[in-house]
Order: sequence, then structure tokens, then C-alpha cells
Amino acid sequence: MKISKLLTLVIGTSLIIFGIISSNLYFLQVIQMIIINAILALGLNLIFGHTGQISIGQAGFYAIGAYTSAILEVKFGISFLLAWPSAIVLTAIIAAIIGIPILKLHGHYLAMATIAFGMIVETMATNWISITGGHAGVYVPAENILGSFIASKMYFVIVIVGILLYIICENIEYSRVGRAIRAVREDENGASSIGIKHSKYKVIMFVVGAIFSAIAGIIYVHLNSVITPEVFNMETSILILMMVIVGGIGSNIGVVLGSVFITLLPELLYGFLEYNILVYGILICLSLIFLPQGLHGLIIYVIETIKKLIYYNYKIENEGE
Amino acid sequence: MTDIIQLIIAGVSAGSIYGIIALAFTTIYNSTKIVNFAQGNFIMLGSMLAYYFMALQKLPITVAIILIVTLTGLIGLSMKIFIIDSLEKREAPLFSKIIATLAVGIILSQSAALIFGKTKYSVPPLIKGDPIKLFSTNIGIWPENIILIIITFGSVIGFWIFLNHTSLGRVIRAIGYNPKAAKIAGIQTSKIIAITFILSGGISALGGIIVAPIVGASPYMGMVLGVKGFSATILGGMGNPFAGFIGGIILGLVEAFGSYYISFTYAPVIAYVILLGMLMIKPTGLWPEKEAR
Repeated sequence: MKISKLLTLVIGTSLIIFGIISSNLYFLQVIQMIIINAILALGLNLIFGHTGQISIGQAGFYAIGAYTSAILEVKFGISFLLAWPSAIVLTAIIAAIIGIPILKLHGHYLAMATIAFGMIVETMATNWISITGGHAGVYVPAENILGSFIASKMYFVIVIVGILLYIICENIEYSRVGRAIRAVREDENGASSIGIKHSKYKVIMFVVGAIFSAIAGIIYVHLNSVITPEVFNMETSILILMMVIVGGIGSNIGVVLGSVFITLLPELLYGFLEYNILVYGILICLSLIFLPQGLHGLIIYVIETIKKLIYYNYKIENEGE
Repeated sequence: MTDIIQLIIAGVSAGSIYGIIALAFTTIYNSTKIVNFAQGNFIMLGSMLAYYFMALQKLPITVAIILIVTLTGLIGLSMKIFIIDSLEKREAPLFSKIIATLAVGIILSQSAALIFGKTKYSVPPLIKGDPIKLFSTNIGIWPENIILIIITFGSVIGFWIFLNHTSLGRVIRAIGYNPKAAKIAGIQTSKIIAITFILSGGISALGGIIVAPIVGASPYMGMVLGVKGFSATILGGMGNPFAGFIGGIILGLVEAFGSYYISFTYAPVIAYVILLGMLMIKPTGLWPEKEAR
């Protein structure tokens, strides 16, 4: 068994055991938020990190997943067993419709198109009051909809979904698709010259990333009971992007570390919470300039340095003899 | 008929603001191929400083304008020196620059919120007065809008003359066409690019000053204005600063007529839909540059 798989298993089981023994609601809440953010970041990492296509509109898919499931359940009285898959399918369809034309674009143009998409969703969520409730939002009584048993066990649902999605990401990385998208990221023309249909793979990853966001949205609604358009604005999209950058672009474990860091940062900045978004902005700049590989790169650097030191001492000792 | 003329006036004045944002975008884009996603927040900076110097400190208008334009220009310059240059030195990929400019936008808007507070402030008009009646009909124009249109059109024409008929302008265009060749020809590209950042900051500040009395100044206005500016730029075409300005006017008119005849609630979406639609169908814009990628 590989180390990374073992690590996933250990973290997963310890999170579940922690959920059983701990009664500290604050910690559980923080862990749940970390997992939601990690799902969002992993989804963006599939598009941005692995496939190399920037997306600054992830909050749009997050919103579509959240609002669709909430509206289907609350306004139409549909069971969550049907509402959740429909929210995911709708998000996937929208992602495909948007993705097919815009993934032909590159660089700035793609960034702008995804920003526009995010802004459209945000504005619709604010202004389409008859469906979304505008600034008042949609209220989702999780206990009534899920039943009291599942609602009380929501923590375990979130942990299991999070771990499963992480495993999917790891498997995608080393699968046929994963190799194809890495080829596309490195050199699009080169990839198509050896028969990789780059547009197909880009759209597939865009849709999968959007599905991740939708899942995070669905979880968020049922955890927080209420959603407002402010949750899904541009800043959220940038925050998701930031978790990927700070964690380490293209590294699944790094991205998870990034979301842990970004989620905990406001808790650490407790005294001056007002500054947290400012701190985020400064962190992005510093990370881009001084730490382009993110936390993942930093950890690898530290491990390599330690290895070198140990090896160096070992060599000296041996030579001394 | 009155409605239509009134809407045209509203559309052209809103559109010339989008146009001036587009002008600020293309100024940087054409010399560096960097899209400054913080541009909207430079407009915000212009508006907030206008509030500070004109409403709070009550400085004379000309002094205030010169101060604001210089300050914002200097902030543009420091962005170039501290962020863009460090990234260039590392030969960072394109997306790093995109995200870094976005982050600069966040830093600007959050700092403004910290310094000036989070509320929306009203800024006194540059020229006070009642609406001017046109040809003794019911159609009235606020002197504000006239000033706005005069300043934006004036700066666009001035900028056109600057780019085409001065040596500095020609150098800026040369860098845009081929930075390597410009360097070989002995142009100090880094200095000239610094100048374009100052210019772009200054133009944005001007936009901010004239927009402030109409929509107010708020630290969070930048993103929406910025994206509408993109929308204008993409509509017109990235390659040509003046195409973006015309794109802005078209956008303003479409918004004005759309909010009157179609739906007031969904008018804010129009600009984003145009942006997304143009990018899907014709990303090079109505007046394309020679090579778009």
C-alpha cells in the first residue's frame, strides 16, 4: 500500500473516531468547513492544477448546486434522495454548456469568461427573488428534510464524502485521463499531435470540477440551513483559487493543506477578523512571488533538506572512520 | 421620442465610464499583454480619494484632481514594481500574473474599506446646477453628465493624439507590437512599461473622479465596474484602445435600453452576458486586433 493511500485511510478513520468521541461542536464545525473548502479546492485543482485551465467562477457552480438542491427540497417538496442527484446533474449540464465554448479560450480570455459566469450566477441569485429569495436567501430546515437521524449524523456524511472525493482525485491523477490532462497542461498542441483530444479532456475535467463544487454546495446548504447570494460572490471564487495556490497547484494533498490553512486563518486572526480578506490578498501575492509551489513545495523542500543533512552527516561519519 | 433621447443620454454617459475603464485596461494590455484585473479597484481608488479630498478636505477641484491622479498613478507604478516585476523576474506563468492582479484588487479594496470605512459615500458634483433643458423641450441633461462626457471624450482624443503623434506614444506602441525588437532598437522597455502603468492608473483615477458624484464612492464598487470595463473591452476588441471605448458606449446604450424596455431587475446581468457571449462567439471583439489568443 502506498504511503499516500495509507495516510488517507489514517486521516479518514481518525476523523470519524474524533466525530464519535468528541462533543466539542466548535471543532466539529471547523472540520466540516475545512472539508467543504477542501472539496471546492480539489474540484478547482482538477481544472486548474491538473488541466491548466484557469477558472475564477467556481463559486457559480457552488451556488448552482446549493440553490438547486435547496429550492427543489423547500419549494417543490422533493425528497433529498432525488434533489441531490438532480442538483449535481443540472450543474454538470450547465458546466458542459458553458465549458464547451469557453475552454477554447486561453489565459486572460478564459479568466474573464469564468469571472463573467460567476457574476451572472451571483446576480441571478440576488435578483431572481421569486425563486432564490434574493438577499433574504433560502431557508432549509435540515432536520425536516433529511430526517433527524441523518441530520444528526451529518458530520460523518461529510467526512465520508470528502474522503471519497479525495480518493477519486488521487485516482484520476494516475489514470489514463490523468496522464492525458497532464499532457494537455504541459503542451496542448503536443498533446493533440499524439492523438489526445484536448478539448474533450478539458471539458470533462471542467464538468468534474463543477460537480465537486456542486457537492460542496449541497453539503453547505444542509449544514448551514440558510444560503444567501453573499456566500457565492467573487470573493469566494478567489478564496477557492487561493486555497489551490497556497496549497500547491496540481497537488491534491497540497490543496487539502491549503484549505486547512485558509479555513483556520480567520480563526487564528480572531483578534482582527476585519483584516482577514486583506491578509488573504497579501498572502496570495507573497505566495505567488516567494512560494510558487505552495505549501506542498515548501514541505518537499524541507524534507529534501533534512534528507540532505542526514546524508551529509552520515557521509562525514563514515569518512571519519 | 423623449424617452429615447433621455435613454441615449443616460446610455452614453454610463457607456463613457465603461469606455474609460476599457481605455485604462488596453493601455496596460497593449504594452505588456497583461490584463490588469485590479483595474476596477483603481477606479474605486479614484472615487474614494475624490470623496476624501473633495468632500472631506474640501480642496479646490483642480488641486484635488491633480493630487488624486498622481496618487493613483503612483499606486499603479508600485504595483508594477513590487508585483509584476517580481513575477517577471521569476518568469512566472501567465496565470500567476492574472491571480496576482486580482489579489492586488482585493488588497486595494480592503485597504480602502479599512481606511475610509465600509459605507457608500456621496461625493459632491464637480459642477453644481439644475438640469439643462435641450431646445426648450422636456429633455434635460444634468451638468454632471455633460462634464462626464466632455472629460471622457476629451481624454480619449487626447490619448489618441498622445499614442500616434508623440515620440513616447510611438515607443509605447512599438513595445506593444514587438517587445524584443523594441529592446534591440534601444528602448528601455521596463521604464516605458512603468509609464504605461502610471498612465493607466491616472486614467482610472479620472474615471473614478467623474463616476463618484453619479453613483457614489464605495470600497466595494471596483469589481463590478472592472468587469463591466472588461465587457466593454471585449466587445470592442482588446487590440485597440479606442475600440474598447466604442464598446463601452455600445454597452452603456444596451444597458440603458435593456433596463427600460426589458427588465430593470436583470439589467445588471446584461454586461456579463455580453462579456460571456462575446467570448464564446467572437473573443476578438467587433474591431479585432491582428492576433488574439
